[in-house]
Amino acid sequence: MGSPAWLYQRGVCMVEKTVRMNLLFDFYGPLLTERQQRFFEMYYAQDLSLGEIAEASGVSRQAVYDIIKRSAAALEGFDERLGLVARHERMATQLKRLEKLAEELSEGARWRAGLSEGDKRWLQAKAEELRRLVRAIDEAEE
Amino acid sequence: MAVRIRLRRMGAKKRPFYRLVVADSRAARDGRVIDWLGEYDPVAEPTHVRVDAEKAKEWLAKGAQPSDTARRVLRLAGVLDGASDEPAAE
Repeated sequence: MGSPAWLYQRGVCMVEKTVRMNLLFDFYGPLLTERQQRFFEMYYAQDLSLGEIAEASGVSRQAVYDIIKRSAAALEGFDERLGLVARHERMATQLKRLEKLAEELSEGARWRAGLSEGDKRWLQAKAEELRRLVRAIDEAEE
Repeated sequence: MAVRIRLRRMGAKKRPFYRLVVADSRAARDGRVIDWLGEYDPVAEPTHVRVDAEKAKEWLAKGAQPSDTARRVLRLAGVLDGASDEPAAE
């Protein structure tokens, strides 16, 4: 689903940028320095302004800006080389499809004509196994 | 008191959701929240936005300043209209 046109100002959708930056941070945050991590988290996760971070940390607003900008570029660089965010998103989409398939199997087992009770139990068991596998893969992805 | 409306990240790693919160700007780092206004879940399909419009309008009327991202979520929820969507002076 695309974002409404009004969300885009100054050529950037701030909310989507925030969501992406936080996701990049989840994957590659530990590769930043401790100071970069602290400022980045304050800016994108806590939504503090540059001025607030500067005041709370005793550094200039420009320094905060530079650190966050460099951190964002570093995270994008890591993702360009490693592609973990795109992989995670593909995996999430595929897991959702598998969940839906398990649901369809269960539904089919309940309502399709001509199935014996044994067939229905077998299909329900397979659907449940599929759901267990989806949950296990999902947990392993965390 | 300088009061800000922020979009704060919550949720587990790689499973984020966001809360629209009211907080005191002078206690920016301690994370204390004065009020909760709603939530924004970018992972849900379609994207889920729920804002207590009455409460949000009350805080805006009291002079609470939304961040750029909070402002956009307030617009997405229909609490702010186009004319009031000037970017904060950041």
